[in-house]
Amino acid sequence: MKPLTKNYKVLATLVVMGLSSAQTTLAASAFSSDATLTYAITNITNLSNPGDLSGLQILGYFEQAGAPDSYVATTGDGAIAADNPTVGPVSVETSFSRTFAVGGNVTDGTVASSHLGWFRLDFNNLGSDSYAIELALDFELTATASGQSADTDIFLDYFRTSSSDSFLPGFTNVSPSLGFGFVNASVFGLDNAATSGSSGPLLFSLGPNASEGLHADVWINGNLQASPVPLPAAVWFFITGLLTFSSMRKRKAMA
Amino acid sequence: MRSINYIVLGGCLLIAQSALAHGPEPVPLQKVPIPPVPGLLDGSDPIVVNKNMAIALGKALFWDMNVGSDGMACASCHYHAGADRRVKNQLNPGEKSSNPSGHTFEALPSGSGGANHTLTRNDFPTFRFNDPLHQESGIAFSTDDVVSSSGTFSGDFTGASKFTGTSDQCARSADPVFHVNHVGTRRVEPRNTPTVINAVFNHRNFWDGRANNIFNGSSPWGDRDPDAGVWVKINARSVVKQRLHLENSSLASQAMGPPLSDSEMSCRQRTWPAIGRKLLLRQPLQHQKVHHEDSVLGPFSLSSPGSLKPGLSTTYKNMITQAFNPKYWSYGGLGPFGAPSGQTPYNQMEANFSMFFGIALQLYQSTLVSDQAPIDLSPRDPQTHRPTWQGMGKTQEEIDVLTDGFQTFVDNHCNLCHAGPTMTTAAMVTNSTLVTPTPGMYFGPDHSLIEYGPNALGPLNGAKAAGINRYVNVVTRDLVMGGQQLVDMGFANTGVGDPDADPGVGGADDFGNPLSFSDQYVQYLLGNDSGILDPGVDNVRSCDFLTPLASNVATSLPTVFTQPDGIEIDGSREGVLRDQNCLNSLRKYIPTVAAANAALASAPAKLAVAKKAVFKIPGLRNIELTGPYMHNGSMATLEEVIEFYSRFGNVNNPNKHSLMDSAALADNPDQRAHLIAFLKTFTDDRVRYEKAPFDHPEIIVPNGHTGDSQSVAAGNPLDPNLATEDTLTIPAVGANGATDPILPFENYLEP
Repeated sequence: MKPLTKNYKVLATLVVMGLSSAQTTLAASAFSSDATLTYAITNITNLSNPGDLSGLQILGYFEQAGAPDSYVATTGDGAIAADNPTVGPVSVETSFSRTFAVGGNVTDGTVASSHLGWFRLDFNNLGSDSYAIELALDFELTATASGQSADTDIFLDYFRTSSSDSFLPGFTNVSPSLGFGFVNASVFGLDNAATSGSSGPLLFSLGPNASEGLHADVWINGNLQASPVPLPAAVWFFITGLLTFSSMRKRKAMA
Repeated sequence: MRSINYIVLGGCLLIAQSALAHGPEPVPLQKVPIPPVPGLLDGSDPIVVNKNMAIALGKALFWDMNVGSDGMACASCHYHAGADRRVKNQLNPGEKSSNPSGHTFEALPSGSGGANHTLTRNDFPTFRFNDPLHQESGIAFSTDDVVSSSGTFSGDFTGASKFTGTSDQCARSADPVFHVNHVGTRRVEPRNTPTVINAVFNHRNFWDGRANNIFNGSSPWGDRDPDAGVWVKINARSVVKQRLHLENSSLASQAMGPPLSDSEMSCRQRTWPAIGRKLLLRQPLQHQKVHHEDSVLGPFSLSSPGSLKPGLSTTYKNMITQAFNPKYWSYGGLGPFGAPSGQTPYNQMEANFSMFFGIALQLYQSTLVSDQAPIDLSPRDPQTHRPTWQGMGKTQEEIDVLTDGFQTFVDNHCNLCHAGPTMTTAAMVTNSTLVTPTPGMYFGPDHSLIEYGPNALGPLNGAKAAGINRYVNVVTRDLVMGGQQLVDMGFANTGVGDPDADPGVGGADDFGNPLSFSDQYVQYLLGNDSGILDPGVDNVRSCDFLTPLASNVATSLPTVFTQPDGIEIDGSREGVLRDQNCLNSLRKYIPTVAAANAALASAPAKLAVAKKAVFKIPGLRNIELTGPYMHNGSMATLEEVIEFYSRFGNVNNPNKHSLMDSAALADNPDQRAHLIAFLKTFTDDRVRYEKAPFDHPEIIVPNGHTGDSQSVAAGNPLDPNLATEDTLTIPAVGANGATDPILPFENYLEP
C-alpha cells in the first residue's frame, strides 16, 4: 500500500478528529420528480369555411395548486422546492409544453409532501363556424429517490371537459379519465424511474360558440426521512488501521 | 302422543343415523378446486390484475414482523405447520368465559401456571379424568385457562414511522392480567391458534365463525358492517366509497381481525390506514432474511447462496400498484379519506390498505394447500375409492394397521363431521361442489381419479349422512343431547369444556347480532327478514337437514312441526320450491310463518338452536403437527384427543352432539392406536420439511420473557415496566425446505 502523503495524513487526522467529536455522520435523503406534458395540435379543420381559423381561440394553461390540494410537512431540516410559476392562459398555435417539478431533501428529519399541478388546453369557438381538431398529449414522468429513506411518485390523469362543465380549477364534474400515468421511485427498489406515454390522436368537434378542453392533473408526492447515523465500527477500524499502517511504513523507511 | 312413542321415534332416528354410518370417507385433496371468488380475478374489471404479485405481497405481509405494533407478524402464531408450537407464556385465563374465573389464572397440574409459565408434559390434558377413557371415573383436574398464543404488549397507539423501526409509538404499561409481579408480559389470545393450511376451504373462519364468508374490504363482518367499504376512483377528481361483497373470502375477512387486535398484534386505536402508512413505503420483510430460493419471494430476495440478507428489492407500495386494479390506488387527491390527528391526510392507497391486505393474504393462503399426504398419494380401489396403501413402501402389517384405522375412523362416526377432502363439513362450498354431478370433472391423483357426483365423498351417496348435498346449506338440523335442534353446518359442540367458558358461535358480532346462522334461520322462519344478516340463510333447504324440521303427518309432535301446526313446502314463500334433489324429500316442509310464531310460546323446542359452546369443526390435515388441540388447546397429543372421544367428551351439555356418545373406542386400544396411525397419513411431508409452498422467510417470534412464571426481568426497551423477552428464531428456508423436520407439539414441551 502506498503510504499516505503528509497532506493526506493531516486530512485524515482532521477527519478522524471531526468524526470523533460528532461520533456520527449525517445521512441525507432526497427526491426529485418532474412531469413534462406537451400538447401537440396536429390538425385543425374549419368545417364551415375551410382554412379560416380566425374564430378559434386556443389557450394553454398551467398552475401549481395551493393548499389544501398541495401540502408540505417537514421536521428537522427537511426542505421542499416546488416553485412552478403559473403560466397562462397563453395563446397556442401548434403546441404547448410545461414541466412541473418538485424536489426535496433532508439530512436530519422528515419530509412529506404532495403537490398538484393543473395542465389545460382550451379550444374556444368564438364564432358560428364548426371545427374539427386533432391533437395529442405526450407526457414524460421522471422520479428519482436517493439516500437513506426516500420515496417519490407521480400520478397523472388526463380528461376532457366541454362547455357544459365548469372551468374553475378544482371542479369535480369531469369526464372519465382518458388515460393515466404513474411512476414511483424508492431507495428500496427502483431509485430512478421514468415513463413516457401519449394519449394518441384525440379528435374534438367544436360547434358554434362551444368550448372544449383537455386537462391533465399531475400529483407529485415525496416522502423522506434521514437521521444522523453512528459511524460503523468497521470504518473506525479501517481509518485507525490506515493511519497505523502508514506510520509504520514511514518509520521503516526512515530506519 | 304417549311418551313411549317419543322414545320409539327418537330411537328410530338414532337407528337411522347408525344405519347410515358408512357416510363420507376420507378422500384426496388433489385437484380439488378452491371456492371461487367472483370478481376478484375474473371479469372485465377485476380487483386483482396480477395474481402472482398479489400472492407475493400476501406472503410478505403474512410473515412481516413490521405489521404488528411490537414485532408480531401473522406468522408469529402460524409458523409451525400453519399453527403455533411455543410452550412459554402461552396461557390465557379464559377470557371468553362468563364466569369470574375467566379473569384469573390457575395453577396447572405441574403446580405452576399463568403469565410466562413454561408448559410441561404434565400440564396436559388441562381437563382430565381419573380414568382418561371413562367419563364416569370422575374429573381429576379442570381449568378454564386456555393454551393459546402470546401476542402483543399492546398499549395506546399514537403513531408509527413510515420508514424505520418495527414497533409503533404507543403509550404502554403493564397489563392488569398479563404480568408477573406487576411487570408486564405479552398478552395471550383467548382461543388456541388453528392452522392456516387448507383454511381457504372453510366457509367461515375463526373458531366461532366470525370471519364472514363475505369480504367487505375493511372488517371481518361481511355484509353486517354498515360502514364497511372501499374507496373507488371514478375519475381524475372524484373518488367514492363503495360496498364490497366478495364471496368465499372468509380468509380476507379473517385477516381484518388480528392486526387490530390488542391481544394479538396491535396497540389500541390503531387503524388500517395507519398500518398502511407505516408499511407502504418500506421494504417488505425489512429486518428478516429471505431465502434466495424462496418459492414466491426468491425473485425479490437480496440474498445469494451463503449470504442470506433481509428485505426485498421493492416496496409494499410498488407491489400493490402492480397487483391491484389502479382504480383502488391511483387517485392522487387527498381529503375524503380522513387524517390522523395532527398529521397529513391519508391517501387512497392508505385508505384501501385493509382491502389490499385481506385479499393478498387470502391469495397467499390459497396456495397453502397440503394435498400430498399419504392419504392423497395412496392408490385407491377403483370401486370403493378406499386407499390401498400399496406401492408406498409399507409392510403388510402397516397396511393392515392403516386399513383398520380407516375403518375405525368411519365406524366411530369421525367421518360425519370430518368429511370431505379437508376433513371438515366447514368446507361447505368445496364439499358441495364435489358431490354435484359434473360430467368430465374428477379429483384426486391421476392414478386414482374420483368423479364428481353423489358418490364422490363416499360410496352409496356417503356425503348424505353428513348433510352434504350439491347445495350449500349453511344450517342443518341435527340430534344433540337436548334433542333435535338447528345447528350451523360445519360447527359442533363436542363437550370439550364448560359451556360457560366460551360461547363459540353462540357469541355476537360487534353490532350485537348473533354469529349463529341458525339463529338467523329462525328469524327467517318467523318471517322477520330484518333478522337475516348473511347470504344463504334465506335459502336454506330443509330437505337436506339431517333430522326433520317439519313432517307432513297429521300427528302432533313435540319437536317437529306437523300438519296441525301449519306447514308448507320449503320455498313456498319465495315461489321457488326447494324440494328438488333432496337428501330426504320427506323433510321438504317448514312451518308457516304463523306456525313458527305460535311455536315461540307454545313449543319453543321446535325452533331450538344448538349454538352454545359450538365451534367450527377443524380439518384434520397435518393434525400430527398442529397441536395443542381443540379451541382451548387443552390436549397436547393425538392420544389425548382419542381418549377424549373414547370417553364421550369432557362435559355433557344440552348442545353436545349426540354422536359424541357413540364412539366404541374405550375398550379397543388397538383400534385407538390404528386410528392415530391413520390420522398421521394426513401429514404432507412438504409441511413437515417446510418445502414449497410452505417455505418461508426468517421470523423472530416472541417466546416468553426472561425468567419464569414467578419472576421476570423488567426493562424492556419498549417500556421499563415491561418484561425483557426471550425469542425464537425460525430460519428462512427456500423451496427445497429444511433438513430437519418440524415435530409434533409434545416434543417441545418441558418434561
